[in-house]
Amino acid sequence: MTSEHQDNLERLVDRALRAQPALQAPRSLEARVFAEIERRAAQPWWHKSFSSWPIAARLAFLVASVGFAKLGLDVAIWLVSPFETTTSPFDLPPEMSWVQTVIAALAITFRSLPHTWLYGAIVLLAIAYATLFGIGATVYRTVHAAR
Amino acid sequence: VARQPTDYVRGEDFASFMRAYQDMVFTTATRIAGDARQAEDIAQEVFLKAYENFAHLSVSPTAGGWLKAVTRNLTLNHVQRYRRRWRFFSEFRREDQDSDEPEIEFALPDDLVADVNADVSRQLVDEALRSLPEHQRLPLVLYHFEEMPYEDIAQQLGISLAKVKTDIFRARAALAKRLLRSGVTAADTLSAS
Repeated sequence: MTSEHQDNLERLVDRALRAQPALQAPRSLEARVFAEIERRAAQPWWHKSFSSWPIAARLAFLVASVGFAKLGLDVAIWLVSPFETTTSPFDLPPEMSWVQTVIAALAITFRSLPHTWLYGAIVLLAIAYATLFGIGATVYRTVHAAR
Repeated sequence: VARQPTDYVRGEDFASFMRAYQDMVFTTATRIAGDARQAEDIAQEVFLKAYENFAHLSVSPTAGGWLKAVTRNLTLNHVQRYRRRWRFFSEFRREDQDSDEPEIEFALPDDLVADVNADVSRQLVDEALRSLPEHQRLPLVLYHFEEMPYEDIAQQLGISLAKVKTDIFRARAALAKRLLRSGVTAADTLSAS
């Protein structure tokens, strides 16, 4: 195809497309926007985005997040540490001793599981994920993409 | 809850602001997304962002440009998120592997949609655009409606410059052929009635 033909084609298509008038927005758009503005304004602060939270709440959230991250790490290290270590990684008040009991029970159960079971569970999860993904792809291609 | 006077004024101003720009925002979103329902959702999101920035936008001489840019970016994000999600399922062949079959030159008239009124012309163009495959329609729309250069389209869509040029060129040819065919049919129908 010649360059002149391509230029003519570009010019004609450009003219045809640019001649199209703007579309009219649906009447429902304005009402939808104002309803959403009202809904967002009526939300309590903790339902809004983090940047809209009060400063004190943001600081408290950050401190709590760091605390939970440290707790999670401590528990993970304790779980994988040698079996002889039965002491809890954290000190809780006597009335919360049941938490330590529950964690200790979970730790004993976890440690007593054969490693092959854990690896088997991971492989099973991977196979289940791949199977569901494959079924999804097949259904999409046969039902939706074929239309 | 009683409405504060400042909120009321702001709401009224924002309603006027929205009425001034909603057709432009909706048109841009519809053309890029190729779907009016998705475009309405995107337009809503654009105006919610505009409301958050209304203190600045209400006095800005470039508010229209801001809205246009936000609409284009949000719509492209939306389209590409959808595209990435389903590409695995629907496009097993890589887009860069399109065949390089030679294009056949065809006679071009002076106007692609002559002899039909504006409504019919719009309908024909809409149908012709919808008939294009998505990987051709999107770059074509970005080039001709959004006036984006080839390089920006390639960067935005994450494909090669050569691929963008090929897709746009093929889209133009397919669109022209379709418009010529349907334009003749429409003109015949109109003249017969």
